[in-house]
Amino acid sequence: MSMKKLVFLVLIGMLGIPISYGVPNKKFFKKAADKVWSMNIPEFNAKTQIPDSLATSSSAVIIALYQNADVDLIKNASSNRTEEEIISRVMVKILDKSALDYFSTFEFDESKGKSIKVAGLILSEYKSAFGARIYKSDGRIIDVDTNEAYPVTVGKKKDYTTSYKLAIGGLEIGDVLEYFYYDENWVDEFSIRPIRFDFMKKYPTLSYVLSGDIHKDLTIEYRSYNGAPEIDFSAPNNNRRHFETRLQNIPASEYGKGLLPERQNPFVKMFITNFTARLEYHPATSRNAGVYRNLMTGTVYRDILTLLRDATYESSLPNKVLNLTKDFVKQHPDADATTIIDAAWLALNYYNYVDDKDEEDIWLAIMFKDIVDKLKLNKTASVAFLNSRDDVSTDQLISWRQPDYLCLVDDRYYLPGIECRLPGEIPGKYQGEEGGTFKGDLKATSAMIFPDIIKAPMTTPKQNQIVVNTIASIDGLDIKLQRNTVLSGVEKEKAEPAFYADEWASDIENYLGIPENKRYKSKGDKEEHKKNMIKYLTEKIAIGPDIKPKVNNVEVVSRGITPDKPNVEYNIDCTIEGLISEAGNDIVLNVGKLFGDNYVLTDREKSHRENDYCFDAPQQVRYETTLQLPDGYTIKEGTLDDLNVNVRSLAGQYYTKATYNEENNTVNISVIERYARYMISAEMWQEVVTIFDTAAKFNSATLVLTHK
Amino acid sequence: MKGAKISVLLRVCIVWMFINLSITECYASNDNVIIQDLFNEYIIKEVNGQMTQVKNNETMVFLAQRSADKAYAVTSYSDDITIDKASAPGTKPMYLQDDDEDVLFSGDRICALAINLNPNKSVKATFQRTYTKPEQFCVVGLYSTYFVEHLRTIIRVPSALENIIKITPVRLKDGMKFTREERGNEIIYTVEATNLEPYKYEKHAPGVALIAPCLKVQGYFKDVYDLYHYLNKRISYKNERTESIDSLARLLTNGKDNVYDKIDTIASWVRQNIRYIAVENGDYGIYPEDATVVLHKRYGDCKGSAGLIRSLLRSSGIDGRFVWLGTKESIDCDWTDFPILSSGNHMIAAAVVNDSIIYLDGTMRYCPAGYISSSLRGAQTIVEKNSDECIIDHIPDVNIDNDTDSLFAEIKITEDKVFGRLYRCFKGVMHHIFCDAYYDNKKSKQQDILKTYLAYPKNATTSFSNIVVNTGADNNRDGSIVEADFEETASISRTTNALYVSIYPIKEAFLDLVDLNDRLRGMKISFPHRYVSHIIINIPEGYAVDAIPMIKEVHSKWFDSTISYTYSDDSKSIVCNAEFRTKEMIVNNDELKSWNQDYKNFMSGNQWRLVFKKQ
Repeated sequence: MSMKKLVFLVLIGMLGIPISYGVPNKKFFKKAADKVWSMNIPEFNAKTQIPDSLATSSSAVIIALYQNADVDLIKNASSNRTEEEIISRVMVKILDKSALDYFSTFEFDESKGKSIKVAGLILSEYKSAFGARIYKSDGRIIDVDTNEAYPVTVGKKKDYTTSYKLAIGGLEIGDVLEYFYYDENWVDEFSIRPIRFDFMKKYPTLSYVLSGDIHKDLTIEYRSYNGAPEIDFSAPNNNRRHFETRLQNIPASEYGKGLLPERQNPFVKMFITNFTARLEYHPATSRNAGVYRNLMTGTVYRDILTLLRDATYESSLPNKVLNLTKDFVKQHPDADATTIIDAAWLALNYYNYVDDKDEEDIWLAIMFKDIVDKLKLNKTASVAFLNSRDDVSTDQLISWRQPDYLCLVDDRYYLPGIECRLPGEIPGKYQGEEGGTFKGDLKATSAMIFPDIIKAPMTTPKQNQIVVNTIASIDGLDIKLQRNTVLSGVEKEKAEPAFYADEWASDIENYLGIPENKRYKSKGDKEEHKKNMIKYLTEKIAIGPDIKPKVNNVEVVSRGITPDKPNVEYNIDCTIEGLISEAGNDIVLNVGKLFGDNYVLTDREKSHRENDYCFDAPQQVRYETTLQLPDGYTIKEGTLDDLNVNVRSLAGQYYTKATYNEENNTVNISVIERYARYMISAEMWQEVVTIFDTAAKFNSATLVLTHK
Repeated sequence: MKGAKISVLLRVCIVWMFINLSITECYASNDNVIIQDLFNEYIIKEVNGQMTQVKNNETMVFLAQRSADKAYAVTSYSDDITIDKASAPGTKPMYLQDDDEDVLFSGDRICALAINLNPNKSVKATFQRTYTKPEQFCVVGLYSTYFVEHLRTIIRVPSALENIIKITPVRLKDGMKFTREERGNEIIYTVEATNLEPYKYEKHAPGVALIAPCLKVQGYFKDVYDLYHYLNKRISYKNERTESIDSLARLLTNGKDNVYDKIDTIASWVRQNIRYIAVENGDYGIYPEDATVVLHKRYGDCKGSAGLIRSLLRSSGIDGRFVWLGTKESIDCDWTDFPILSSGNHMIAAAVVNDSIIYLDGTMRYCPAGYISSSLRGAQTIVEKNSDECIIDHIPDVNIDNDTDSLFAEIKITEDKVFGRLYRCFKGVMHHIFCDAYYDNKKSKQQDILKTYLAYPKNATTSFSNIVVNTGADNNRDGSIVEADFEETASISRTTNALYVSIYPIKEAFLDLVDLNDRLRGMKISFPHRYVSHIIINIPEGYAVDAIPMIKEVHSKWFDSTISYTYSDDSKSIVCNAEFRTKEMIVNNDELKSWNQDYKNFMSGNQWRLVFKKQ
């Protein structure tokens, strides 16, 4: 069976079918509770003294957290089954109302199990249990009755229970709550999903114990990311390999602005593979039973190579793309090779969308390589792998399933997607990232080939900019704006929510010259989408929480999808109220609010940062505003002084310049906000604060106008 | 306002109205899809002169006007309303649970048909339902979240119930026609209407229950006393007094001789210690859980906390009672106007002392002693008396002065900053809102919350130090105070010879302009409140006053505001006094333009600047 078909089968299976309706499975809950509560883990001590520093500053303290994964392999004549038992047990001290509310209710999965059936065979079953108890300060222990949970159901007559909701009765501030989730799963002829242990915690955690026992005939591939502790497995004993790690005093962490969780938060990821499972794809180069910690990247690259060699597809897309590309060439006889390949790329993504194929990135990359080869344009196409900064870096892969796939034509990157992106443009979070590609005819030989290491080129702030040209005038206490906005490069991503896929398809049809009668019939409602687009683009120029522009007209000039219209560009005419205040005979214009709604850092954000700050890519915003003063008014002497700011730091620059043109009675204000790097280290956080702070303060800048 | 955690008592009867809006409003977000024909038929069944059940047949004919689209036909059901049929071409019904955000579990369910529409091709969806508990058939909404070209709603009443069932049209729009016709053994009530605008989500709009047209169905209950019997019969008084309740009552009232102190202490304890968690499925939507159970669990909904307050009062020798009422956000009538289940949605407790009734809402966590939240004021109440009798009363209104947000500051000015110490005091509803925001957040974020309250409007140029907060939440005080030293630069505009200083005396009015584009509904001011500020502005050294703003008064239908600046007696400072006070709470759709003008007028005064000239 080809790899593709198998992947499809798995996806269908993953939908899962709940088995039944009813109250929680008492027997299973009892079994789970008996097992969990009888575990003697010394860290789980409700009398643990909470350090004063935590008790006064935290809403809750996790006294102990235990996560355990036991994975077994049952092989016999009728099954090839991986069984998994996952326990997550938490003991938490409730210290204030917010924590009391947070831990007041729980929702847990249906206990009688969900099964996955394919062709009449049950290939998987999943059962879950929950338990909780409260430790009172007077020494009482109250078991929470899970039979009081309410079933969340689907079906006309509540046919299936999907989960249960439970309120924790008797819980008060000062109590210690202990609870657990207990899951039992099995899959036949498949492998279980990867296991992940996260070390970033919402509340300070005094003790964290993670452990497990994995059957010796399973393949364990794992890695500790971002400084997570290393895990050691023991030698097999009773057919099991054991791991156990104990940590103390993990501080609370919070998600915030400019973070890359997969690159910054410590976690351990563990792929546990039944390499004999017959209903999933295994590259021939993949590992047999054993423990493989921090695999050499070359090992994973070899699996990727095998995968690419094994990959075959049956699809109508390549031929349709080739035909359309030939038509494009006829219409553009002078088109160079890159232009033709770009057109083919647009055609592939176009047909993938309008034919509702929804192919995955790897298949589009493989198909496109074949298409480019068939176009015979003397260009070298190859399938490449790369990850964005929203995922782990490719030098830390432990599975061929982890990277994204793309097609590389010479040094041009073709990443699939329906976005405001030209062929060859690289999304910001991929720029600067390293990956690899296998060149040549991979199927011609079975010999090991090492990938060429690639590095997605990084762009400059000038390539990723928003340029806003504005003509502003004052009408009574209102300001009228005519604003032209052009977004280029990575900054185009910010406009994407304003547009919809059918507009994207329409732009490609125009560019490729698809005849009217062969065009995609849009299913969406254009008028409705236009309303949404206006709303989104308006919100982008909305200024502060209290000041909303009244939009008179919005015109989209281009969406930055095709090479002939590389930028997103739109015009907005609007009126803004509330920026002008009276001051005796003069008027004061809060002109700073015409330059974006700049983020105001809290004192806490300013003073403390643990992780590097990440932008998508180097970028800049440039405003050129001409303010026509009302007849009879001029600027008050000295009012421009505070409108000239120039702050530079290692992170970037915030620059403003205001001048008065007496002849035209206008004030011209230029603003540039530039970030030269995509990542600023946490040690340099104050360099970012300086720029953010200056930009935010400039939102308050004013201009005083007086009668001539 | 999160503070008004209103348990939806008796929710099932009005579920159609709310479900249809809440579930479908996200789906019906465009005007491409309309309902060409919306037909509802309700057939009341009778045995021996008693309503026994109600059958409902509903059809909706959808049309996509411009382009292919998806329509969602949705109806509600529950343990007491069955779905007998749900069909539409090319789709299968989905049956899902539908709990409100504030409710842990309600048992409310929806049946939805997702219908693919081709342009200009009508598709019909059909539902058939049965109300197995006819008392829950009391309101029929006459609206949709889609535009409706033609609406026809029929209620068929058997002749045997002619003098029992009363159908009353409420808020019918212009052009809606309500008729009554006797045909055979039936009385047929019909509403017909054309071109009905959809009821979609609109910011600050009043709830549909307050503004949408509907038919109210009376008759299951003879009158409000009959309704009381029904409600009261469903209460289990078995465990209202147990040792655990008695001992808690003793503990709370020990050493207190004054009955009012006892009442306040008991109500406060319940508010502070009983978490609001609503479980309202089946009969839990109507009757309160045993007080002993609520005490043991330490959580409950409005009925649970009311029951516990009542029991604790009784254990303390005070006449505690149950009270049924409808909150102003959701209920449009008095019990006596329409003695039907949908005329109420909330339960509180009351203490009866010397013939006076003291109302006690157990759900308002930071409710000061004796305080009545704005959503309850003026509501008609059914107060328990005994198993046969009840008292019909009204909750007294409360002077808006009790809901005051006040600011006092003395500020100094230099050429580049304004600084001083400010005090902000929250009372009544403002106290409740502030405490909710403060205590709902993790400790690590509470300082940020305080700064948000101190620095409105939020800007990057304000810094605070020496922040002191006293919420008084632990001892049920009637207000909270935050004070801090502050320093900021945004209020000053400098020129060569002058300083322009903005005071922004009304820091928070909880009001907003309304976007009039495509606006279909009016606006509701969230809650009544008052804001006062008293700010002393020291004249900066080396400067003289060049201009101070004139007195600015705005007297609108919805609020009064006054902002004045005067010299202090010693002429060394300027005193700004400002007051903002809400009045009418509803702005009708045709008044929104006036509202916007009044609001802008107020804001312009709030933004006026003082001018100091260099000497």
